[in-house]
Amino acid sequence: MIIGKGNLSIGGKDYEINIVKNEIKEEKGLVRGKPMG
Amino acid sequence: MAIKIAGVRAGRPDYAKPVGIEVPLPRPGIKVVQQMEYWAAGEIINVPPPGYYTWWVVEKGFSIDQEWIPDNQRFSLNKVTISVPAYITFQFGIGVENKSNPGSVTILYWETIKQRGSVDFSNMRVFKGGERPVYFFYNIGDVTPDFIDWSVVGVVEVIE
Repeated sequence: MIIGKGNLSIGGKDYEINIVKNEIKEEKGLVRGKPMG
Repeated sequence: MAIKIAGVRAGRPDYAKPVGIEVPLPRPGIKVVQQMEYWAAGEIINVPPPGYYTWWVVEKGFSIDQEWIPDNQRFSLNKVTISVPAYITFQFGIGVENKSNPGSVTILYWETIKQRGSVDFSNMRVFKGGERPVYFFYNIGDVTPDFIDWSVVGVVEVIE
C-alpha cells in the first residue's frame, strides 16, 4: 500500500519513489525495543 | 594475601615488562570495493491517529528495485530526520527486517520526539545483505498530523 511519495538517490542516481507500509495498527501501552541477540 | 605459584615469584605480574610476542591484529575478511551515497526523503500522507502506529519502507523495500540489501552489499544508516506539522509527541523507531523472516521487525532503537527530531544512527549498526531498515512511527499525541516528513542519509558499500 502506497502511503507517501518521495525521492531516493543511490550513488548519484535519482529516483522518484513510493513509500509503502503495512496497515495502521492500534497499539496499547508503550512500544518496547527488543534487544539484539 | 599474595598467591604463590611454583617457579614464579609472589605478587602481581610485572606488567611493565615487555612480553616480546608479536600477534597480528585480526582483520575482518571484508574488502570494500565501492561506496555509494544513499539518501531518501519523503512525505507520508497517511498518518496514524493517536494510539496507532505504522511502519514503512522505501518502494520495493530497500530501494526502487531491491527488496532487500543485496548479499554483496552492506548499508550504514547515518541519520534519520522526522517532523510533523503539529505539536504532538510521537515515538520514532528504527528497526530491521530480515529476508528469512519477513513481516517481523526487530526495533533497534526508538525515541520519543516532539514535533521534530533526528536520530543519529552512525556507527550504531551496519545492515547486512538480506536485511533492510524499517522506520516506525507511533502516534502518542492527541491529534493526527496532516503528514510526516522523513529523510534518511547513509552509505551503501559493495563488499568482497
